[in-house]
Amino acid sequence: MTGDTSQTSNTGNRRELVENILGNLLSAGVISSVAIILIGLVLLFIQHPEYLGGELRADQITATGEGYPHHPMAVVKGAFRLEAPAVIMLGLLLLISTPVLRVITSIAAFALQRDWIFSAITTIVLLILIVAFWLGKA
Amino acid sequence: MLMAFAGSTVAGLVGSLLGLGGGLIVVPMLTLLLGVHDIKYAIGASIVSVIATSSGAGASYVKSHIANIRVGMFLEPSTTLAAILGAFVTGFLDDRVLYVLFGCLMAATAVAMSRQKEGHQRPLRPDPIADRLALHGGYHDPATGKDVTYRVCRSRFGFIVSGFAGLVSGLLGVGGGIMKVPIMSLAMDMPMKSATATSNFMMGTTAAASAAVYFARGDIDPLIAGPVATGVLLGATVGSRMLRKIEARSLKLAFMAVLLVVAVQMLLKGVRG
Repeated sequence: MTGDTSQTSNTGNRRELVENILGNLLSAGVISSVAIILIGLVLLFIQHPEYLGGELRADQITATGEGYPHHPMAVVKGAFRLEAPAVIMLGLLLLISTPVLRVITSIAAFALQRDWIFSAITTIVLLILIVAFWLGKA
Repeated sequence: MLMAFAGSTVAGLVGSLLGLGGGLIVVPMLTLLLGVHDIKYAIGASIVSVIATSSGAGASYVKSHIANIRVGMFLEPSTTLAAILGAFVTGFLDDRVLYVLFGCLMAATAVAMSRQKEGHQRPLRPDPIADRLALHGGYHDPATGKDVTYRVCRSRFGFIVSGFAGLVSGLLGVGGGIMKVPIMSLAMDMPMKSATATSNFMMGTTAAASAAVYFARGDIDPLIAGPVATGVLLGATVGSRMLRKIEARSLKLAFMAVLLVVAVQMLLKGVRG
């Protein structure tokens, strides 16, 4: 870790490369999740045209009657059956996961640069995010 | 549903013109105007829209190198941990308490906006942590055509105080930029542009931590969060293109007035139940 005391142009270029990769990852995540949400909204209007101008709650229209899916597996299963709330939820989940993917990519990028302190900091952030997903379920 | 989409578009537009996230506008709009009875659903929808705008704006800030991703990632352990705590606490709080807290946050934001000014120069303090972690940065400013370089200081203080921004973000479903930008520009001595861009970049990760808790608890309703997230993102995208063309000052004054009026309404709703 004590090797690079000055910013050489080589590390500068690498830093730039990492920033471009992270930027592209973020835009790809947002664009694809918004596309899925929009598909879900169109499906919703086809399946339940009455919702276009009306109520804002999903509870009444899910097949099980016990509210919209909020477990990842239930979301994926529902989305495969093209149930509109599940498709929208899949897009929302992808959106929530986009920063998580960004964090994972950063860990790899810092490790490749042999920047161990930042690899460690970013790994801590990832662990906190994993705890968040796990904690909410309990 | 269409109302929620249209309203969220306006919220995203106004938010990006004023440098605020849409959250501060989305939550009162859903609860006071559109009849979302449970404020937790409004907060859940808002936190998802924060991720959308942060990732969308963050992408361009990162590519233009205005956001300091090292500072952002250095502060993220603090903000994400606090955000989880906030999101967790929300689950136990009565709706009326949340209305009151939200009203207070809006009033505080209005006051902060009236005092907002460019970061003034303070004597630089040597910061061994910032040196060791290479937090100092620089970018090319397309507006002035100059290359800006800066040194970061008071990074330990920034790390601790950022936790409060994360806590509020998780608790009330807002981005928390109104707190993070002053921390980075005034305390850590970053240029205003970098502070704003870095705050936007971090927001997504902070919001993802609390959104995970809201999702698992079932407080993210796809029929509310879907149109809100897409609407806010659309509005924010249009807003960021307009930013250079319009005079934001009069808009800011008008918005401060609206913010205070709505803050009172939120407080009343909390007190009356």
